[in-house]
Formats: sequence, C-alpha cells, structure tokens
Amino acid sequence: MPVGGVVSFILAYLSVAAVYSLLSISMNIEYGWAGIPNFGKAAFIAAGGAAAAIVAAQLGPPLLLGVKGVVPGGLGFFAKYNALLNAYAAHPAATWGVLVLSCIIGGVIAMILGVLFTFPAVRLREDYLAIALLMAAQLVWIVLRVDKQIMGGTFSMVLPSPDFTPVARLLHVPDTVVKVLFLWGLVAVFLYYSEKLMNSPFGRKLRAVRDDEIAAEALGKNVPVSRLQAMMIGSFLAGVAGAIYVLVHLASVNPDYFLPDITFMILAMVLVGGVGNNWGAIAGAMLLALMDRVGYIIGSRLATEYGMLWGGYLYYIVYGLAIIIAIAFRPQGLVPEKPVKTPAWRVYIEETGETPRFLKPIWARLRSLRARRKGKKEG
Amino acid sequence: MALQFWLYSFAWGAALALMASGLALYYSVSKVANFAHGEYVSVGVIAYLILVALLHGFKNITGFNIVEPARFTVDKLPLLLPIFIIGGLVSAATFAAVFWPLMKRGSSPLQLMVVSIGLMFVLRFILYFIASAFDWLTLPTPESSVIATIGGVQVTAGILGSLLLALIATIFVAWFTRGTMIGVSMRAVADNPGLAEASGINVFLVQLVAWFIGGGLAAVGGALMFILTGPPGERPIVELGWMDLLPIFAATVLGGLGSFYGTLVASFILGLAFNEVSAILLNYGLDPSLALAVPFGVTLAVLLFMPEGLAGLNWGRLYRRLKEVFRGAGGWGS
Amino acid sequence: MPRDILVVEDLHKYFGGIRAVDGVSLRIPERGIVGLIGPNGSGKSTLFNTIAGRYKPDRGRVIFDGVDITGWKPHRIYKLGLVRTFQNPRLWLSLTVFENVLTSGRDQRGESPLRAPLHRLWAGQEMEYARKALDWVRFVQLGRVAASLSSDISGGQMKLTELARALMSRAKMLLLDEPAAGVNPTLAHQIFQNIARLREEYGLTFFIIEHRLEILFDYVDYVYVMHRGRVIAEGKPEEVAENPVVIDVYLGG
Repeated sequence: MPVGGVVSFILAYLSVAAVYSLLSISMNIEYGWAGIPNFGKAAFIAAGGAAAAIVAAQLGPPLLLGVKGVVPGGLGFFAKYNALLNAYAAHPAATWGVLVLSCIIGGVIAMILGVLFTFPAVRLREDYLAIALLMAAQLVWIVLRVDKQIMGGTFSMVLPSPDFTPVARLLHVPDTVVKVLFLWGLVAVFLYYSEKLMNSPFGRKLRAVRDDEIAAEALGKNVPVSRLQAMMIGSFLAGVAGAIYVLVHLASVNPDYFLPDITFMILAMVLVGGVGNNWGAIAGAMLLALMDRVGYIIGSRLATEYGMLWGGYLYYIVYGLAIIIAIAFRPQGLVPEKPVKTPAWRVYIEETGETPRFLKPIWARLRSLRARRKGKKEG
Repeated sequence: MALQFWLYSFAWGAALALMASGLALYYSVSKVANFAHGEYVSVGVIAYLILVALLHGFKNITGFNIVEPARFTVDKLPLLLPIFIIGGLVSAATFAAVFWPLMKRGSSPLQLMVVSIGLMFVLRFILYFIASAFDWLTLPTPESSVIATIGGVQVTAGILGSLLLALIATIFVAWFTRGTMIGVSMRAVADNPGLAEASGINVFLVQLVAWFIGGGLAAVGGALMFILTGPPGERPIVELGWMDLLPIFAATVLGGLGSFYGTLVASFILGLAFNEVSAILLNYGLDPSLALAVPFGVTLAVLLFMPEGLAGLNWGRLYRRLKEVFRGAGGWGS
Repeated sequence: MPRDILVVEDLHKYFGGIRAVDGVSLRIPERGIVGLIGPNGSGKSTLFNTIAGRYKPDRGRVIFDGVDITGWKPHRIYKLGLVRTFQNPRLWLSLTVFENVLTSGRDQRGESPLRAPLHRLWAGQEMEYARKALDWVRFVQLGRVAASLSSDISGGQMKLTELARALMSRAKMLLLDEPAAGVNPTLAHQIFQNIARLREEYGLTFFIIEHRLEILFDYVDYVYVMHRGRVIAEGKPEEVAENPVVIDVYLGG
C-alpha cells in the first residue's frame, strides 16, 4: 500500500473510532453504570440523524441562509436540495449552525424518546426492558424508511457537513486532519462530562441500583427514576453523537445507518473495553473500530475480487466473537471499573491517615507492588 | 376472499406459534431471554433449502435454480422432521457450549442476554456464509401447491403444514410434559430449580432437552414461515428469523414469558392482528411494514398493564366475575 | 405511656394459595426494642417485607408515625424514617464498605444528575456525610475494612455493614432481620448492647427478628411470636418464654 493509502486509512480509522467512542461513552452510562440493556440505542442515534436531515433541508435554510426550506420526498426535491447544498457551500458559518442546531434538537428528541420507550418496562426485569427497547428501535427505523418527509426514505441524503477549510488553511494541514482533531476534541468533552457526572453521589446511586435494586429501594433510592435519569443522559448524548456521526463523519444520512447492528456494535465496544469505565469504553471503541476497518477491507476484497459475498458480513463474526469472548473470559472488560471518586475519600484519608490502594497514583501502586514482590523473594 | 385471508392469517399465526412457543419452552426452565432465537428460525430456512438441494443431488441448485425444486408440496412434509432435528441440535449446542457454562459460573441474566446477542451475530455469519456459497441470499417466495379448494378458499401445502405442525407440536408438548419422566422434571425445574436439583433431577439434561425441542420448533416454524411469506421484505433470506424475532418476543411477552400455552394463544391473536393491520395499511396506500407497530403496541400495553401476560390472568376469577355480572344483570331483569 | 410509632392492623399477604401473613396486628411503642420470633417459614420475613413496602399487602393497614403507609414504595417509606435490613445481606458489591454506608445518606444533593457534574454544589455536604459515615463504620467496628470492596468481607461483617447503612439514614425506626446471624456470641451481645445504646442516645425504635432467643431475650422489652402467618403469642420476654403455646411451637416445629 502506498504511503498516501496508509495515511488516509489511519485518518478514516481515527474518524470512525472517535464517533464510536462518543457512542460507547453514552452506552456506558446506561449499560455500565446503571445496568440498563439499551438494545434500542440505534433509535436514539437515529434521532440525531433525523434532526440533522430536518435541520439541513427544512429548518436550516430559513434560519441560517434566509431562504425557504424544502421537504424531502416531494417531486423535484433533489434539484431544490442541491441548490441549498450549494448555498451552504458558500456560507461555511451556516454549516456550523446546522451542526449546532442538529446536536441540540437531536439530543432533545432522543431524550424524549428515551423516556417514552423506557417508561413502560422501567419497573420490570431487564429482559422486558431490552425487548421493548429493541422493538422501539425497529419501529423507529421503519418509520424513517416509510416517512419520506424526514430523510427522504431509503435514498441517501447528502448533508452539509461543517466546513473545516478555514482552520485547515490556517494550520496548513488537510481538512481531514482538522476533522479528526475536532472529533477527538468532542470525545474529550464527552469524557470530561461523564467522568464529572459519574464521580458523584449520582454515579454511586446508579451503581447501587445496578448492583442490588431491592437494597437501593429500601435505602431511599427511587429505582425507576434513577434508571430514567440514566436513560435520559445516555440518550441525549447518543442523539448528539448521532448528529455528529451523520454530519461530520459520513456527510450523508440514510435510515439504514440506524439498523440495530450499530446498537450491538457499541455494546460490544463497552463490553470489551470496560463495563463502567469511560476510558475503557474508548479503548474498546478504538480496538473494535480497528478490527472492523481491517475486516471491512479484507471482506470487501473477498466479495468483489473472489465473489465470496459473505465477505461483506465479516463484521458479524468480529463483533459476535468479541461479545462472547468478553463475557466468557473478561466480564469486567480490558479496563475494569474504578471506585467512585468523590471528596468523601479526602475525608477518609484525613481521618484515617491512610490512602486506599486504588486512590494512589499508578506509579505508587507499581512501586508498592514491586516492593511486595521483592519482599516475597527475600522471605 | 375474506375467508382466504383468515385462513392465511391463521396459518401465519401457527408458524409464529411454533417459533414463539419454542422460546417459551426453554425460557421457562433456563430464564434466558435469548436473542439468538431468531437465528434458529433462519437455520430452519437454510436447512429446508439444503435438504431440497440434497434431494436433487446438489445438481443445478445454486441461485434462483432452487426456487422450482423448493416448491412446497405435501410429500415434502416429512422434511420437517430433519429440519426439527437440525434446529434442535444447533440450539442445544449453543446452550451446552455457551449458556450452560456461564450459568454455572453465576453470570447474571443481563450477561446471558448480552451473550445471546454475540451468539446471534456468530450464527448469522455462518448462515450468510452458507447462503452465499449457494448464492441464495435473495430468493423469491417459493410456490406452495394447492391441495384443495373448499368454497373458493384455496388450501395450500404451506397452510396445511403450518396448521398441522402447530397442532402436532401442541399435542407433543402436552404429552411430553405430562407423560414422560424428563418432561415432568422440566416442569419441576421451571417451578423451582433449586428444589429440583436438590431432589436429584439432572438440571443440565432437562434444560438441554428443552433447548433441543425449543430450537427444533423454531426451525420448523422458520421453514414454514419462509414457505408462507417468502423472504423478509427486501432483506436476505437469512434475516427472516431476525425480522420475525420481534413478533416472536411480542407473542412470548403477551403469553406471559415462559408459558407454553399462553404463547400459543398469543401467537394466533398476533397473527390475526398483524395481518389484518397490514392489509388495512395496504388498503390505505400506506407501507405494510408499519404493521410492526402491532407487536410493539401489544408488547408495550402488556408491559404497562399486565406484565404477567395471558398466563398471569386469573382465568378462574375472570370467569366468576363475568358470571356474577351476568347473574346480576339477570337479577335486574327479573 | 409512649405513643405507638408503628401500628399494623390485620395485615394479610398471600402468594397464590400460601397465606404467608394471615391477619397480623401489632403495635410497637416509640423507643421500644421489640422482638419477633417464630420457627422458620412462619412468615416473619414476609411480614417485614410487607411492612417495608417490598410486597403490597392483600388486606390490612400499616401506620407509621401517624401516616398510613399501606402499599407505599420502599423508597417513600425510607423517607418517613422506617428503614430495614435484610436477612441475607444485600450490599452493593461493587462499592466499598465505606461507600455502602455513605450511599444511604438521605437527601444527597449530588444525587441529582443536573447537580452531579458541578462538584462545588455538593462537595460540602458530601464531606459532612463522609465524616458521619465513617463514624457509623467505626461504631460497628468495621474501621479496618472500610476501604475494602464489600464483596471481599465476611458474612458477619456484611451484616454489620447493613446495620451501619441503616443507621446512616437517620431513621426513626429500624426493622432488623437477624442482625446477629453468623457472628460469634460475644459479638452478638455487643451488637445488642449497641442497639440498647442507640435507643438511649438517639431515641431509636427497633423491631428485630432473631433466632437466638437466649441473646434476644436479654435486651427486648416485648416479644411477638409468629407461627404459620399469625401472631400466636405476645408479651414480655419472660412471659413468652414460659408460654406453653410457644414452647409447643418451638419443640413441635
């Protein structure tokens, strides 16, 4: 492979890994912290996608460009929409407006859907909840396909992705580099927020509900409300990530991007990386995105050059085995979850004068481990 | 015409009943919400095509060539037995290789459910592999021979097969859970696994048998559903099971997760409602795939208002209440 | 005569055909230490579960502190100040002992998802609660294992963690389900001495299920005896110990 090929592969990989990281952080809040099997994640990502389509074609033009919007699905839509896309291309700032609006609207829609879909089964066993959420996601997918006024039905609709050219010119790098940096910047924001959010009494409450809901209820935690709160936050982030996914990463939208497959891919990333650990979720996303990319290249070569059509479905075996192996051999994931860090531990250290092992910095932990080994050898 | 429609819907419900009661059967003993169940259904579809190919000595059966040989006739009914066995073996193997070791290690129901997703993906890949080797990914609906025409209503081999098999399965399971040692143990395990194990029942064997029968029923239901409806929309045939997974879950939830007879009744109700709504949607020029709202709506309503499903209804009390109401009404009259 | 803080009137709980609690009425006076005894399967734990809101009663009323709490959800009952422990300890196993106790503190500001990311808004309360939680951990003599994961401690220590967790919630009344199960007699006596101390210092009320009558009878003011879902006897410990009906139940099973 020529150098240019390698570089573009790495950039494409980093871009998709960033999007998957955003999604797996949001899945981790639900599955990792609150123990909710959100098998309907695709629906909440789709909310972001739908918001992007609506903003690009219908809301954005009057608000950002000062022209009339067009409703997808009608006659002559593509001609009018192409004119809009040209108008967006002339106004880089408007493309950023589309992104911001889509993120907000997508997040809010996803949050509302999250409450609606979770509510019926929130008091019941987790299998009921999983089934209800999966069904909801399937229904959302069908509605997006059938209702052509949202994203034009089963045609892929091109979207005005945010324009990175001004920044790229300033830094003398290609657009894609800026795009990748931007996406990873967003990952950092998501990570910072969820670390702050979870290292708090709220995070502790979610873990209590996950570990033993009967005890949590007896000690004053409202279990259904706690679950709904986790779903609202997770869905909001998924909606935002969905808008970013279609606008920045793909620059197009199609209902088939939101098949349940994506839900289970994200779930696999959380499982592999670390259940309940945000850093782990990112690690899992990076690892599986790499395997996914490599599998895709091999698979499409098998399919196109050797006529082996199953090559196009290699990702099933990648994610399927990843899930089974993770649950069977390392259920806590590559990076296990850590105790909830709040100021309470500062009090603990003050009063007892000792620092628990898990709060010591990593180098101190390594040193004590080495010292213990040495002690063992001598003794 | 209306009668024809009802007969078709009923047969559809029967095929769904076979698939869903299979899930209910092993759910009752193992308490695993198995999302790979749809793949056992698809195994039935592929097994049917492979058996047909086998009958033709694997000559000239790739791609659309399989459609003509796959025409369903009454003399193909015996094929359903090997399909049952193949589906059963796949299901029992997944239980023995994946679920049982995890259950013994004390994995949570949540983890078992998630692992079933992994299994679903792996099985689906294998099915894709086989189907693409024979170039069967997209196929039209196979024909089904007309056995009889009664008053303008055509009874096809597919319809007969579904109704017949649902009946046989009901009788078989009724006999099995009452008349055989292992079937009675199965009910004991479903009631109280701890107690059953303490009283010397081989819990593993009982569950293995339940998974075998459950997977077998799913595969038979899948083959019949393929004959009745053809491939699932525009999706490849190996996704038939996945596409039917949600109606399957709706039927099991409505039936009261884990109740065999509740699931049977629920499947027929759903079959009628689903097809009726599809027809209405089509009538109004809407997309019939929106009929998925039926199983979804049913499931949500059940979860909200009667999470125990049909099996949880107190039929005795309902009957007495109705009788009182009617007697009361009679009292006013006289 | 102190007022009754908990009044149970004709409570029924059925599971299918099994009458687990079959018409129980009782009164617990404020600042009382009342025992509940009976053979296995007599419905004691089900009575606790029904009072504390885990099961909805089929008939009857539960009144706590003047409020009718029949059929309330457990977390609301907790808010009124009635808190229970479990027969088989139910700890949050991914949290440390210290955090288990800390988590049950009431009205934690940082539990709201909106305030949670802004540590400033709740750090003060959190540190105050942490001190209190540490005090309760030391009170039940678990200071040594406070920073251990609660899945790594012994069964007896788990019971003590549950006690500390219930105390942390600033309850008015505690329902303790076998607080001294699985601990040696010396420690069991210590636990009951502490219970007596808590009544004196904090004015708490206790309703306690316990199998080890020889220890229980030294500390309680009053005892209810259950058998097959009903209260078959009640009275002062020394009266109950000599009641022929009770002796018959315990010897006859």
